[in-house]
Amino acid sequence: MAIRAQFEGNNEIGVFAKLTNNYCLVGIGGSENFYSVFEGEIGDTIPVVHASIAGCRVIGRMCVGNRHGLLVPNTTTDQELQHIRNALPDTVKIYRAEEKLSALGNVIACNDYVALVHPDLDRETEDLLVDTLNVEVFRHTVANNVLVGSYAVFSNQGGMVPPKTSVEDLDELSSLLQVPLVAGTVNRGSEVLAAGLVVNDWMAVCGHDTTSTEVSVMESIFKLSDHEPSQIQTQMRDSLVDTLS
Amino acid sequence: MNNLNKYPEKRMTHRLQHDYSSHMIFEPSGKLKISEIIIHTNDLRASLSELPSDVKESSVVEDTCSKSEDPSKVTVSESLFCNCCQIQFADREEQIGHYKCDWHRYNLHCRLRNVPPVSDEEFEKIAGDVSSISGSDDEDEDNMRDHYLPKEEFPHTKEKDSEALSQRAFHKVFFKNKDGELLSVHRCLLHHKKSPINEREEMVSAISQLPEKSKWIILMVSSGHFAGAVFHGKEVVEHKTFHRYTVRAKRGTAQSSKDSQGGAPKSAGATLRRYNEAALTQEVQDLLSSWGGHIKSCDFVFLRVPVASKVMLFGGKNPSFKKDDLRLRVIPLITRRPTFSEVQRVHQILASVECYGKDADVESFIPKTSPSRVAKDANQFGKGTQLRSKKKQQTENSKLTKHNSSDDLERFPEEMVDTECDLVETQEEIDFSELKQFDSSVRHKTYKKSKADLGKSQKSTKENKLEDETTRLRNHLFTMCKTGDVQVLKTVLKDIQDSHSCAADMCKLSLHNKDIHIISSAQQADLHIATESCQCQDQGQTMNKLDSAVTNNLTRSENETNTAAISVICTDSSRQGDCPNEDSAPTGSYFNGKHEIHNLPDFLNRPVNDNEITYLHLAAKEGHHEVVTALLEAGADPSLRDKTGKTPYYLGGMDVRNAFRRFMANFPDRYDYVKAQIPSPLTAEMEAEKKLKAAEKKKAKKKALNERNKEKKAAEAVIKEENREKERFLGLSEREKRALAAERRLLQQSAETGTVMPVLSRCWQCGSDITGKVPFEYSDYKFCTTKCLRDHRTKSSR
Repeated sequence: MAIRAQFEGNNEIGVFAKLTNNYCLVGIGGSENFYSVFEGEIGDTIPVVHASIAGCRVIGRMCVGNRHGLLVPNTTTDQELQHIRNALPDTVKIYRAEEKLSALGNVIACNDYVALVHPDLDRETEDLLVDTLNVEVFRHTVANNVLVGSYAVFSNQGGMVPPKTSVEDLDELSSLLQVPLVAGTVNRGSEVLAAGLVVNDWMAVCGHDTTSTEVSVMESIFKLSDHEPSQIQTQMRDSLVDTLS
Repeated sequence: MNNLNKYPEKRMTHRLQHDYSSHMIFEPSGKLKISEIIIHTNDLRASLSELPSDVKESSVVEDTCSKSEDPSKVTVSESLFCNCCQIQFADREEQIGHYKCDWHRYNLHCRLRNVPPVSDEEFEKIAGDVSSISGSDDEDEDNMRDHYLPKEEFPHTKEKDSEALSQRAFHKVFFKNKDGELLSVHRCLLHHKKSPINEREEMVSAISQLPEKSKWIILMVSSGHFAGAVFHGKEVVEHKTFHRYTVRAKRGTAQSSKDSQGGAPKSAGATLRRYNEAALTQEVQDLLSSWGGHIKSCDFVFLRVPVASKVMLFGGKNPSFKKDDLRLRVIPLITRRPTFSEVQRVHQILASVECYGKDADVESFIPKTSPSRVAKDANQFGKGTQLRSKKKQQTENSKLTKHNSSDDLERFPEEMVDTECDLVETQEEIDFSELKQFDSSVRHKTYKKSKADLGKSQKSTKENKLEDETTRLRNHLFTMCKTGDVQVLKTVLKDIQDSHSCAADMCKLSLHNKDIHIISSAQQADLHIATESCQCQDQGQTMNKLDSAVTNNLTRSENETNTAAISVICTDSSRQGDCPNEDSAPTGSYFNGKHEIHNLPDFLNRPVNDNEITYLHLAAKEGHHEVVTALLEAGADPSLRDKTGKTPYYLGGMDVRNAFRRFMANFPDRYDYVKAQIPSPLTAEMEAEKKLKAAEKKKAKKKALNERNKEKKAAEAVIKEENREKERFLGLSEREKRALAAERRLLQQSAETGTVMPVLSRCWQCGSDITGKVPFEYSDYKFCTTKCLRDHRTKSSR
């Protein structure tokens, strides 16, 4: 299911949280509301960890990770790294990346199998991604934007790209990432998808402003609905509309 | 009704579709959808009348979109196509591989800049046969991108060329042909660096021979890359490129240069690079030995080889080249990574003659230098070659170039050009004689130049010498200001001043003697030699030597009027109380330079170093107030600021500042004191007054301190007394305390009533009244003071 949340009045959830299939990182906030949303939903299955990176709460934009590992920028302090290390499962590899483009979350989008990266990312970081996250790395842009990590979001089930993406690019990306993709928005029309939305294979959290339409797009593409889509929605619908018209 | 039951659920999906399609309107296909929507709306309106209107609208949308893209139905696309590079892939592996390659990255950047993508072949051409781009670090890649992106034209453009010209010395030689068109060729084609051609005829003959010398070898080595080619005319006879991994990836230097710094690393990578370096050297040497025939027969060998790699060409058992081979030339261009295409580019540039057309002005191509340097060059010209002509033209038939009447920079490969034409060489030398007046002294303005050439060269050497002396003198002054050696400084300044006034006298005198027009600057120089030799004499050696020096000069000058002038000066110097002899100083080393100093203040006020500080700044900063005074008297201007805008006054300490103010009091109008930031003058009276005041102040201070101490002491004494009393009182027995209290009460009563106070107790020793006081006591004896007690004790013990 997709749920709505706010971080201290801010709808850009993806900025303050990092959600993967194996762990969840949440920025340290003044109130516990935001944290409790995650804790309440997934706290019993995966660890939800308060964290900061390089003293910042915008951890979602700073780090990149999946089920296999986590990459943090080289500005992360030893203490923060130690804390994250202690809190995450032992199977998760954690590395610091010496990368010029230090906001890793903005330049890398990934699921458990593939990663889409900024065209100018270092070769070393690319290698590190392959080793740490066990992903296939593709250098590409999304809607002519190099900040793929900010604009695209995808899980193992599906993904979303900004509405300005052309149909051809959507096709190409979909075949590249091997997940179904749709163009969509979050937070009442924001095309910075990864900033407004965090997703893993069974849940998504988006900003409070997100419309129900946007939520339902998310639920369908990320396959988050608790039940299988009804017959009426899938097979019967076409014929139904045909009869009605 | 069926519809109504499912209403809530449907509504949701409908809206979603609506939103979604509205996004898609941005796309070309979106328009089509809108038209579909309209059609369906009309059809459906009637049948869906029971639904709320918004649902009706959206259900329509749902219908249209459901055909193409329902989020829950979207599947993974099967298209194996890169939109960016416009290529189709056969399978997934190929696709994955493509997104890692440099070509794709390059095209991504192209797309971001709205530049059409390049094809695979084009990219190969752009990046060259360089395999190590992918391994190189980011900067390299950036360079590459900047270098190769389509916006950039061929790097050898006109602007760049003229820019390079203005920065470099003459790497080209300019010629003018019969038609007056300006041509240029690279200098390195005409002669070796070590055998320069001075003569014009030789130059022209060298260029006329060029078309025959068409067999060239170009070799370039850089960071593990080697490229070499043998050209015969335009044809490439042979060519070869090598690349070996020799350069350390992150650090950037060759492995051998790292090893030579000591502590050669033993890592696998280091070993690999070491091996590769040796292998590359071997490969190149093998190649060159196989090219032995070409090397022997070639006319030029152009090299771009770093020092560390020279061993490839000049080392080994039987080196391919000898170092003193005059055919070896350095490539006079900026070159890129050694590739075959780069070698071809170098060849094309070197083997071309540039034609600038008729109206072109040589001066616009000649690098501009600062006037001072130009003046120096001019001197050198005057000294060395005698090529002082405005414009010399020489004609000679040569088979060099044909050219059409191109108006601007155009290059012609020499090989293509064969027809005969006349070539006119122009070696242009700019006459800087008008600039010379800035170089030499002010005084030359007053005299006209005579025809006499005698002593001209002598004079220039003399001036050089004088310049040296001046520098020495300046250094000396600097040292004195730094160390604060006032005595020596004063003598030196005095000497300079005297000599200056003396020189002025001489000038005046010679003016008086009506020969203004006759005395040439050359003779003036002679005159200086004379005076200098005079001043170098000891006091003991007098006019004899002076006479001989003068006569020496006289014999050299053929002009009789000059004789008159100089003899007048000689007599003058003897008449005026031997002024040159008088000012011979103890050290004498700074004498030679002082002719240069025509104006002492100017000399002193010239900035000493890059920070534009003057001697005064220096002395002030060092705190030598006497030096400051001496300098000020000699004419050093305190209002001059250094580079940071500070005046000497600002830099000085109290002593120095007072020195400035004292000077201001003495010479109130001499300098601009406001500009020098000196606030007020300091006269002797003021100083005395100040001193007096200070003394008074000091005295008062001392007095106050004393008083305070006294008070403190008194207070302490009171406290001490009180404490003692307390102790004594505490030491009393209860009975005695009571007795004491009673005594006090009695005393108080009597004091209140005004009656005479009764004496209740007396000191056992002196008998004084101790009523109401805590007595000193021992074994029932009571005393007024400890002294009484001690006396009593000694008395009783005796």
